[in-house]
Order: sequence, then structure tokens, then C-alpha cells
Amino acid sequence: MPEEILLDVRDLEVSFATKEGELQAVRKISYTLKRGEVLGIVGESGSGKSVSAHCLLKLTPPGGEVKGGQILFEGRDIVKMSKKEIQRIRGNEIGIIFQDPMTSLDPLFTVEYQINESLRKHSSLNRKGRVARIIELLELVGINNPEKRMKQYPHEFSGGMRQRAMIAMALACSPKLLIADEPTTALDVTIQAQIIELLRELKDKLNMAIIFITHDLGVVSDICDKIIVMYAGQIIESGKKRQIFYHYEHPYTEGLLMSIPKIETDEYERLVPIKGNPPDMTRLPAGCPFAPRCGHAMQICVQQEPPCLDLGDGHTAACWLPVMAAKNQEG
Amino acid sequence: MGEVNKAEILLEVKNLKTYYPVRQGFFKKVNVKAVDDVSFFIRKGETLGLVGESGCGKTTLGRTILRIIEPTAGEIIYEGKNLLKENMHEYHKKMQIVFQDPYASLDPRMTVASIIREPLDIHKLYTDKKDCHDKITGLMEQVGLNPALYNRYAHEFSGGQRQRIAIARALAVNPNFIVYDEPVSALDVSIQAQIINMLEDLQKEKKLTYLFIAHDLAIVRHISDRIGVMYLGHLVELTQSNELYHNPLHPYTQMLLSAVPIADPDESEKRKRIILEGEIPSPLNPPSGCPFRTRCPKAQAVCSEVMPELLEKTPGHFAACHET
Repeated sequence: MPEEILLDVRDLEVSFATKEGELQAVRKISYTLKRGEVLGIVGESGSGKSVSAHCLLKLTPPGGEVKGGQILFEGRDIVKMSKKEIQRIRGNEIGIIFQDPMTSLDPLFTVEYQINESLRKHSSLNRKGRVARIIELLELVGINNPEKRMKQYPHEFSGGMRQRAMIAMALACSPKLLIADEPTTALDVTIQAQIIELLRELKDKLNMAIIFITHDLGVVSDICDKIIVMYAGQIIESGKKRQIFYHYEHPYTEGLLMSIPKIETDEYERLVPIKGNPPDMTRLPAGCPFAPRCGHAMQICVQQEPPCLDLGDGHTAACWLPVMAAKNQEG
Repeated sequence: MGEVNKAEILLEVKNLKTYYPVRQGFFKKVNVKAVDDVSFFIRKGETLGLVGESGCGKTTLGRTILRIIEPTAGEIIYEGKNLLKENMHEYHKKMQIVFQDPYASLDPRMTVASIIREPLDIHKLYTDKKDCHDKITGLMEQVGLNPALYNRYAHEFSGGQRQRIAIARALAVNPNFIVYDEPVSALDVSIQAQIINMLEDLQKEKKLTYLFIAHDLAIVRHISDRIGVMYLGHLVELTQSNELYHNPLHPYTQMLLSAVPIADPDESEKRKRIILEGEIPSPLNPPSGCPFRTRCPKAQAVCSEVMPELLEKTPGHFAACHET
């Protein structure tokens, strides 16, 4: 069913030129996303999760450059698109929301003006139709009294309300894909729950695919269908939600899950941290990037990069452990 | 609180109020009641967790206890002495604080050694140069920093390592009480666990008492013996960690707990969610009566008239609600 696939990322590589030399922020990642599917990208700071998603809209930060690979959105390669072509997609077919709403909201313009901007550019609605659409959007994201609130400036909104206004802006042209870059990290838990519930409803209503970038495994477990775990610019494990949470193969995934306290357990359990620190991306070790912190590291792990192993049913892991286990069984 | 043995108590806060004056317009001045009539105690060797959403006053409360911010009214009793009548210089040898953002709380142009040395200098806690050097390297080892990094600058360290430096600085005076204000929320999850485990070890080793302020309920439940919940400057519930999780009495606590995402797909599907409507009201213009009544599904007429008191509903379980 190739027509079901909305986004197909193949061997994407992104590098930054730094004083210390080339920094490979994203190193050959591949994944696909179907319509209406929610993909969670998890990883710690510097793992490349944000950069890899910003590339989908050609929003790589200054100094960054896509070095290779393809980003096929409905079969069209975004990497090869010109500025004009990508502008037709940005805010129209793919929307994006950020952690800090003020990165997308301009403090000098009213909320109405800002939502209207993308409608004017991408839709064929007339002035009256656009105002009706703005009111509809603000209602959709749960902003009460939209006729009054749309005339206000972002500073008159609270944090949670700004987040909603930004989501309304991203949804203005009914995108097929929404990229949500840590959209709830700066919010309180009760507001976070509201926003997640809202995204869930919108996804069902609009059959929109969502890429949800976060470091919060609780949020991922709540909203995502599929999960990608990134480390040092690579996908080290990917699969369906339950495969990752209950049948993980990579020691880093295990480490992440073990290092968070479980609010639902009564007995005191000491946390099991991952030792050491994330690697310096300009001086990556040979072999598996996680090997220096890994409790199961073998000789081969520090010498050779592990292959990306297909574990069946969409579950992959880049680790020598399952490879060696299979070999031992054969031998 | 009749059954509590006085000798067990390290710190007691009675009817503490911290108000910030805010100018509204040209002549009008109003008070933001950041901490409003809060009373509780902390036992020796205990960890009391404090949770609440941004703007609930938990940070102000932590700082007021150390008199970094002066209270408007109330009492802070530490080892039987009212701190408001004492010289805090002496007490800062016993009470320390670790802040949230290790990028902001350490001067990037100071070396690790000079950061840890500052409290030693202020309180004259060493005899000679060698003693000072030994104390600093000893502290670095205690918090898991390689003493070889003695002369490195703070800006050369990662977030987790900086937080270790900040903890070493707090430990330098050999305190018995430490306030942690969101100590791990700026750190990556794998580093969070390292720091939490270290705090637990240090507490056991040195018999420390902690006030642990955070918004992450899972971490607070993990580390705390008892937990206090704050809303709009008020302490609305206080009890044992397990009791709070299984049997929350205040509607706000119930909603807060149900909003915490659980990192377990089966558990999160099983759970009933109460999505809390609306947002925290402006502290400039708080509701009359109970501060939570504007968002509370159980609100009655009495809630808008009378502020509910924090009462002991079952042994050791305090809640401020008319309905429970």
C-alpha cells in the first residue's frame, strides 16, 4: 500500500560546520510515516531529534546542511525543493509547533493577523471566509470567546493559551503532517494533559499524521503509535509503542526506561542511571556510539558500528547483542 | 499535630506569608500573595517534597525559609529558634540551597575550586591552604567529580556536572538541611537518575534533611517521605507519599495526579483521566474563599465564601477542602 505512506525519510544526513570540524548531527536515519499515524522521536539533548525533524521543512539552523539522503513527502523529495516550492508546503501541507510559542508568534501582531497570514497565502478563501475560519480554528483548539481573543496580542495570552494559538496557526491550512517539537515541555502537567488531549482529538478529526519530538517517555506512551529512539544522531531502536516499552532490544532504550522513576509503584526502587555522559558529537568513538556507556559492551562494539537489525513487524535495533546472540545459537 | 514528638522536628513553619508589592497603575499598590498562611514541619532526616504548578509559590516558600526572601509575617522555627530573630549568617552554615538552573547559578568565569571555596571562605572553615585544598577535593569526590578537574572553569562542564558542583558548594559548610529547588528539571533523564541517586546517598551518609521542590510528581514521589501540594500560595494537601498517590483528598491533587503521563502504555490506557479545565487564576486577583474553586468540579456555595483550613482529615493526612 505505497499510497498510504505520507513521509518516507531515507538515509538522511545533516552536518554542521563548527570550529572543531564537521559535526554530524544526524547520521543516516530512515523511517516512514503513514497518514494519521503518530510517531514519537525520543532522545536526549544533542541526539539530533529536533534537527532531523526541522529538516523536513528545510528549517535547519544556520550552519547546518543536509549532506545526503531523501525526504519523500507524498513522493516529492523535499531535499531537492527550491525555496519557492518548500514555501508552498510549509504551513500548508506540513505544520510545525515549537516548545516556546513565542518562536512562532510575533509579539507585534494580533493573533488574528498571524493566522490570517498563512490563510491568505495558501487558501482561496475571501476575507469573510478567512475570519470565519480563524474563529473556527480558535474554537477547535479550545480558546473561549474567539471573536474577542483573536483581536488580542500574544502577550495577552497565558502560556497554555499561546500554545493553543500556535497550534491553531499550524492547523490553519489543515496540514497532512504536524511536527510537534517538545510542545508541552514548558507547560505545567495539567495544561500538558489538555494539549495532548487536544492533539489526539485533532488527529482523529483531521486524519493528520504527527511527529512528536520529546524527551518525556510518559508523553510518548500516552499519544504515540510508533517510536524512534535516537542517540548520537542515529536511530538506535525503532518500533511500535509496545515493542519499545516491553520488548526493547537496545541497552540504551532499556537504560532510558530504567532511569525514570515510576510513579505507579509503591515499593521504593532505586533508580538505575545510565553511567557517563552523552558523547561529544565532534569526536565520536569508533564502533557503537553508546558502547562507552553500555554495560553489555563487547570487543566488537568498540571496533565496528552495529548493523541495523530487522527484528520483524517493524521493530529494528542497531546493536551487536542480538546479532551475537543469534550467532551463538547457530554455533 | 499533637502526636508529633517535638525533638524529632528540625524545621517548623507557622502561618508563613510572603507578599510581593506590585504597582498597578500609578497610585495603586496591590500584594501578590506568593505564600499565604502556610504551616508545616519537617522531621530530622526526612525528605519533604513540595509540588505545584508554576506560580504556586513553591520556589518563594523555599527561599523564604532560608530568608533569601524576607517573609511578610509568620514564624520559621529551626532547631527551636525563631529564624526571624536570628542572625542568618550563622544559620547559612546549617541551611543551604541548590537552584534549578546550573547554567545560571554558577559563575562561568570561576574555577570549580573557587566556586566550592567561596562558602569555606565566608564561614572561615579551614585552617591553612592545604586544609582548604583537601576539603575542596574531598567535596569533589563526594559528588562524583574527578579532583583533577580542580582548576577547570564552570563553563567547561555539562549540565549534570554543573549541578554536581552546585551540590558540592552547598555541602561545603557541612549543613544539615538543604533546599533543592527543581534540582534535576534542567537535566536529561539519564543524568537525572545519577543526581537523584547521589542525593539519596548523601542524605543517608550525612543524615541530611531535605526540602525537595519540583513539578515532576514521579520524581517527588520517588525521593520524598511526605509530600505537600501547593496551589496559588496555599498548602492544600500534605501527607505520606504513598498515601497521597493512592488516596488524594483534595480535588486539585486528584487532578494533578491524573494528569501525570505514565511511561507505560498499558497503565496509561487503563487510567481514567480527569482533564482539568481552565488555568491557574492570576495571583494578582485570586478567587474569594477557596483558591481552587474556579476550576473545581465539586465546588459548593461555601467554597466561594470561606477559605478552607488545612485540617488533619485522617492521622497524618492534612487537606484544605470543605468537601472532604
